[in-house]
Formats: sequence, C-alpha cells, structure tokens
Amino acid sequence: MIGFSLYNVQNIFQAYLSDHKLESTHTMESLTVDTTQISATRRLKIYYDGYRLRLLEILENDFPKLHTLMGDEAFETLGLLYIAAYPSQHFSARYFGQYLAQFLAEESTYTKQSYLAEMAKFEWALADTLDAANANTLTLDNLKSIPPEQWGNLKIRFHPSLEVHAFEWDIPQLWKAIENKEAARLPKKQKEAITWIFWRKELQSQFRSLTKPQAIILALFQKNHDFSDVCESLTEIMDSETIPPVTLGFIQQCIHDGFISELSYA
Amino acid sequence: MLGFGLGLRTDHYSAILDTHPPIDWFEILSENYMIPGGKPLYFLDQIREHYPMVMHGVSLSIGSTDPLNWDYLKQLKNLATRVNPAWISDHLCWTGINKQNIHDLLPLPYTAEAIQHVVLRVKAIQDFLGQQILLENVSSYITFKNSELSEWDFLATIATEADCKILLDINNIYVSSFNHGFDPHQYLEGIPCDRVQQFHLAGHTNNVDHIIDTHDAPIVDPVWQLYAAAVKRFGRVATMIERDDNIPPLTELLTELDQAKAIMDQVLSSTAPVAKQTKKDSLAENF
Repeated sequence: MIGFSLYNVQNIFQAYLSDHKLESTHTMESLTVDTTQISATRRLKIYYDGYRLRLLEILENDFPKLHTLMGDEAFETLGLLYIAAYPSQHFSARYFGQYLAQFLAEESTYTKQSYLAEMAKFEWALADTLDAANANTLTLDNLKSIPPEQWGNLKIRFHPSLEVHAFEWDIPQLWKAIENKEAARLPKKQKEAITWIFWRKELQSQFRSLTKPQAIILALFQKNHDFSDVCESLTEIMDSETIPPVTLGFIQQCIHDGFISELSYA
Repeated sequence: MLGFGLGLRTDHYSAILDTHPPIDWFEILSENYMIPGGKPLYFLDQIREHYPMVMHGVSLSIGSTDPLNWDYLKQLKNLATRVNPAWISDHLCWTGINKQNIHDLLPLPYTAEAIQHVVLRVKAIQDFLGQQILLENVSSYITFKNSELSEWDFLATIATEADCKILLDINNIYVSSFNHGFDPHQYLEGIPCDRVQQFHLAGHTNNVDHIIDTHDAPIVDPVWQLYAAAVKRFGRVATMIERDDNIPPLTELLTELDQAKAIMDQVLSSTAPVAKQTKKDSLAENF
C-alpha cells in the first residue's frame, strides 16, 4: 500500500471502472478489503456494473424512441460503446448523451444506418428545448406596430429554444408513430432532406417542418439579415412579387407558434 | 425550524402545486436546476413560493484530486441566489478525476492525506458560497486497505476541522454497516452532536451478501430503528425521505414521513436526548 497517494487510488479506481483491464483490476483488488461475506472482486464489480447501468439508464431516458427502434440488446451495445468512447465530462448527467448522435454518425458500426444518428439528433433536440433559456415571445400586435417605412430594416431575434435540423429520413413521422405505439416499421428515406424546427411553447417541446423558402428565410434572419436582405436573397428561387407576402406570412406563423422574442428596426 | 421534508421529484410537481400537501420543506437536487431555463426552473420557482427548500448536490466531488470546478461552483451559487435555500449539501466522496465524471458517489480512503485534502476544499467552498455546507456520508461497497481510521472518525474529523455541518444519512449508515460489518450504533456515537443538521432516510436493496443504496423502496424496519437511535442521540434534526426510483404517489411518501414524525415524537417524549442536554443551540437551528 506504500506509495498509493489519494491521486494514485483515484486514478487506478477510475481506470478500473473505465476499462476493466487486467492491470487496473489486479491493482484495485490489491487495494480493497476482502470480507468473509464478499470478496474484493465482487465488491468492486458493484461499482463497475453500477457505472454502466447508471449511464445506460440515462441514455434510455433521453433516447426512448431510439431505444425502441434498435431494441434492447442493440441499444445496450450502443450504450456501452458510447460510454467507452465519450466518457462524461460534464458535472451534470443531463448532458451525458449530447454526443450520441455524433457518435452514431462517426462509428463505422452504425454509419450504414444513418437514420439512427438522425433519431438521436431528433430526440436530443426535443430535450434541449425543454430547458433552454427563457425569453419573451411576441404577439401579432408587435408586428403591426412596425412603421411601414421601417419594414426593410426589420430584424428578428428568435427564442433561445429554437433549433433547426435537417433530416434525410422520415424521423419525425417515425418518432410520432412510435409515440402512438403504431406497428413497428423501418424509417423511410426521403427524396431530399427536409428542414425541421424545434422550440418550446408553454413548457412543451414543439416541432414542425419548413418549406424550402421558409428554411432559407429563417436561416437568413438567424444570421441577423434584415427583411430587405432576406427578400433579395429569395429572388433566385421565387417570383419577386410573392416574396414579401411569403416572408411576412412566415414571420406571422413564427409569432403564432411562439418563437420570436424580439423585432427590431433601428 | 424546517421539520420534515421530501425530495422534490418531477413526478410530483403537479400534485404539489394542485394540492399543497402538508410537507414542511423540499430538498432539490441542485444539478437538475443548473440549466438555462424552461420547465424544471418554472416548477422550481412555483413550488418555492409555497415551501422552504434546501439544495442537495451530487457533483461537488469534494474528495477528488482534480482542482475544484469553479464553473460548477459559480452555477451552484447562482442557483442558491435564486432558491435562497436553508442550506446546501453534497456528499463526502469523489465522482471522478482527470475531468471525467463517473456520476457515482465513490468512496475515499480514510487517511490523513484525504482529510487534509477535503478540509482545504471545504473551507475554500464555504468561503466562496459565504455559508457552511453539509457533507453527507455515502453508502459504500468497498473499503481501502490503506484506511487509517473508521468512516465515522473520518467524517467527524473533517466536519470539525473544516467547520462544516453533517447531513447524516441513516440508511447509508445501515447499508455500509452491513457491507463492512461495523456496528451502526458505534457510528452514531462517533459523530459530534453539534455538527448534525439534517437526516436522510431511504430504502435499499438487499442482495444477501451486500446491500445497495437504491432509493427505490420503502424504508425498512432496521433503518427506522436506527433512525430512532439517531433521534435519541441528536435530538430534533430536520428529516427528509429520499426516493429516486419506483417513485410512488405523494400520499405514500407522506405516510412514510408521518412515521418519521411519530418516531421522533415518541423518542423525544420518552427520553431527553443526550444532544439536547449539551447542544441546545445547535438543535434549535437544525429543526
């Protein structure tokens, strides 16, 4: 036991929990008291199993539809690979699953099933909206109060919970199907990726799809472009006469949905 | 004067706001509310309007040899400003090193080196927060061969030298006494009365050759009996029941809480607690 400082003990204990290699296992066993009731090996295994079970449970809670889609065994295998690849570095377990979609997109075992990464991305976005920062949301009266001569300068600040993601598979529809306990099915690949937005309204997560022009309008406003810039950018894909009403209609819809926090035109 | 509390859990948010149950206070899990905004903070604020609260953390990692996580501590302090808790507690353990978080309450070797390390960190944290903190004894499943003293001497020495308070988890004492073969009453005797500010009670899972602190079941009779002994020694200490899994309806936990009240009343009506005779001031503060 001589030479085992507090750091040494913690280092070897964490190595044992993380990789369970022979060397760290033997060292930890040599550091641990046996009792007549239970061996050091079995005592240590309580921590080893507990570490994995705890994190697997967190993933199950954060990705319930991915779990259903994959099944118990495959989801557990995924979880164990993820725990090894992305050990938690945040003080809160709330954020442990934040890299799961990235892991699924990178790990060769899963890259051929790209819908898995998309389902993880979808579920993480839903969770994100629930505890994003608070902010005011505007009403249509705020929009009506804008002086006509200032419309060209209009800029928009969106609610902090707003997230935008594109999906090549019909993940949102599949998520709803699983939520409604419909018959199991595989995801369907779409002709092209569709943009979906996620936000929080009255404490609940919301999501809906955008048309191509709407996705462009939103992206430009998010980059702090004003109404004139946005309309100008749409001329390549839309008839110039329809651009202002389409843009205005989208802004009205966003206000109705509850994810515009500020309109400015100074 | 906090009295008898429960852990605030999401399953009970609506029932609490709808029925305003007769609970003296709630203990919140600090990390659940160290977030930017949204649903959890909404309910926290709503419930805080009606009930006192204490903050209980799992990520302080007071025994870790990593540097203190000042980002965590700043967020903890911000949450304390929002909640204005009666006190802030965490566990006498470590949760990871080298920036990794195991998300488990890992035991420390009971050594002079660990005492010195923890005491310095508790002092720094108390200075930063501007208040004493409470350290809780954890359930453990191993002991280290290089431990130089008992767990209760380790906890008592740290509390005294760092001038912090103790959250005495009665179930954890029972669990660890089973797992390590010590006398839980000897543990109680080793804890200074004036340091104990809160009790925890909880259920566990007995796996024959070891017990795991699962917080997923009702409190068992031996833990109630140990609670009675703790009340006899420490007097009117604020008591709280933890349930983290298989969470029952609020009414079921209220029944358990009534049992805790009955035990405390029974013990204190039949016996003048030792602590009350010597530490009147601390008892008045604690309950």
